[in-house]
Amino acid sequence: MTEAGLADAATAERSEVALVIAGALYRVYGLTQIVATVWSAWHWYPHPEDTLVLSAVLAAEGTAVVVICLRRRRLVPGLLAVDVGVLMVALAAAGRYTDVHASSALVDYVYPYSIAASVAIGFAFRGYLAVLAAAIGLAGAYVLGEVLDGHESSAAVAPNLLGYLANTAAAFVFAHYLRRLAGQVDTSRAEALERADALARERERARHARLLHDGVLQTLEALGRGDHLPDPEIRAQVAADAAWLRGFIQGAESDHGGDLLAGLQRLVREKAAGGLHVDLNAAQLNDASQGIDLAQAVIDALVGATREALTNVIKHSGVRHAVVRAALTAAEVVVSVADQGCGFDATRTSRQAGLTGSISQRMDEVGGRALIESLPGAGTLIELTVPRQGRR
Amino acid sequence: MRIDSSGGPLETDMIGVAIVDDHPLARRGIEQMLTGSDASFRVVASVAAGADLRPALAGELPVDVVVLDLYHDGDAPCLATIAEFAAFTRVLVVSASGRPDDVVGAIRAGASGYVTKNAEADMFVAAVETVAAGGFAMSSQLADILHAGLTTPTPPAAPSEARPDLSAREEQALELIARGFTHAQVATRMGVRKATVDTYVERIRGKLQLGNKAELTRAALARFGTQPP
Repeated sequence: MTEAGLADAATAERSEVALVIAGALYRVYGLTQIVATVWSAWHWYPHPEDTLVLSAVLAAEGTAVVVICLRRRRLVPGLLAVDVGVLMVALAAAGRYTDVHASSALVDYVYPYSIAASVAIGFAFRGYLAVLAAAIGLAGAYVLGEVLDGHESSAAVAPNLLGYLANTAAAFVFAHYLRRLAGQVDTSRAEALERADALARERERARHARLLHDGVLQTLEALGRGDHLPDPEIRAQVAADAAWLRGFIQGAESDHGGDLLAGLQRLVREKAAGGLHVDLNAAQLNDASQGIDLAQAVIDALVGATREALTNVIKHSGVRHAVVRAALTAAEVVVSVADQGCGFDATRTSRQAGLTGSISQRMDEVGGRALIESLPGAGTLIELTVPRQGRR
Repeated sequence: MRIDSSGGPLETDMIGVAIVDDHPLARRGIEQMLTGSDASFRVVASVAAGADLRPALAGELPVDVVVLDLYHDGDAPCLATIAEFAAFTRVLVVSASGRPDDVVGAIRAGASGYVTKNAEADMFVAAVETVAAGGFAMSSQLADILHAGLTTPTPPAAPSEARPDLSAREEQALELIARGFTHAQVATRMGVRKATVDTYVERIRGKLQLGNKAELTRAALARFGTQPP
């Protein structure tokens, strides 16, 4: 398990432990009640030895529940269900062992003990139905005990048994929200850790990219362009590798703009290898704040149409330089290809008409449009527009 | 690194160029582009750091334009050096690739243009000529970066600096230049004269460098006494 995995449930675990401790404290209070009551009312009991046995059993069982839950660091529902059963039996039998004609309410110790224990029972179960069932069981057992051997005035029985419902309900609500909050805390922390991780990786990558860029890349590009290497073939190879390295670095640097920017960069490198120098002006695509969401088919269409346009520059324009610009408006992505070549008369040359038809068709297929402007001697502009809200 | 004061004062139509770039091959490449062109350039200095150029500039070295690598001093753009040199000569900023905020910062610091290092030779030479003559070299790359940096709705990197507002026409001119059109073509498309487009470019520069001229002059005076070289 990764460190993030271990940390995933840390808060949840801690909140369970907190619930165990809270339940245990109530139980301890209940147990001291037993001890205090039995001791002080000892001579009131009709069968003191049996009373002692009952109280010992309850004390042992209660202590066992506390110890087991503390060791397991959570309230074990099955164990608490058994506990409910034991309490019910004790409640039903309590009257027999505390039957006395004294008016002191301190004599009856099973009831206050079970009320204290009911807090942990409210914590223990994840669903309210189980809690309700336990509460009803306890209340029913209490009533049964009163019916059989009770000495409580009937006016007091009703609010007493409501005590089970109130305690368990309050405990349940509290535990429920505590668990939910703990879960949220854990999730947020896991997400934050992951993001910090990704950011660190990104920074490291960018750092490497800059190191490569400032040294090796500049050397390669200078070698590929100047007169330092006499052999033109080797120079071309170096230039191509420099272009690849530039693309690689730019891919490492920019995750924004996504596949469109990467596709255009690849295209530019491809054409550079064929002798065409392309300025790719895509500053807006690099801007992190502008998220564009284009379907892959749309991106492919844009890159494909741009490729055709650039091929056209190589074949017909008579120049070796073109500018590709990618920009965003509020609703659209616009890619333009401009050259200062000899231009063409679109109405006349059939070959050019074929080109314009093919580019327009690509754009039509993805819900965009193409604009082609050219005049003999005045260069060529091809503008590709697609809407921005395409879904992947 | 080389500083060549031996040539004495420049002939009247020669342009004195100083190159500042920490990458030796890059300096060679720039030098070759300049001397291999038709225009009459003389490379009077080729150094790796702005600091190396300072004493020469304070002396009588005839420099019409400084070609300065934006990141020659490590990872951060050398804006202070640009501001310093721009106070009494002209600076053309180059880089292999520029982060848009850094490029805008360089222009605001007083640079007269920005060109990428893998630009075409004749475009590079033209930019150096424009800057040496006192003009503003707006390459299509610079226009694209400025357009992205000045027109997106996001707040600028340094909130203390107010971002200048471009008029609609200026923005349009910038956008067309970013596409690769010449000023003449931009003028045709906008339905104005070419001179108007030149004016738009100068106005954009002015808005970016608003207030800088006074500061630059003050800085130069502080450094060099009452008489800047």
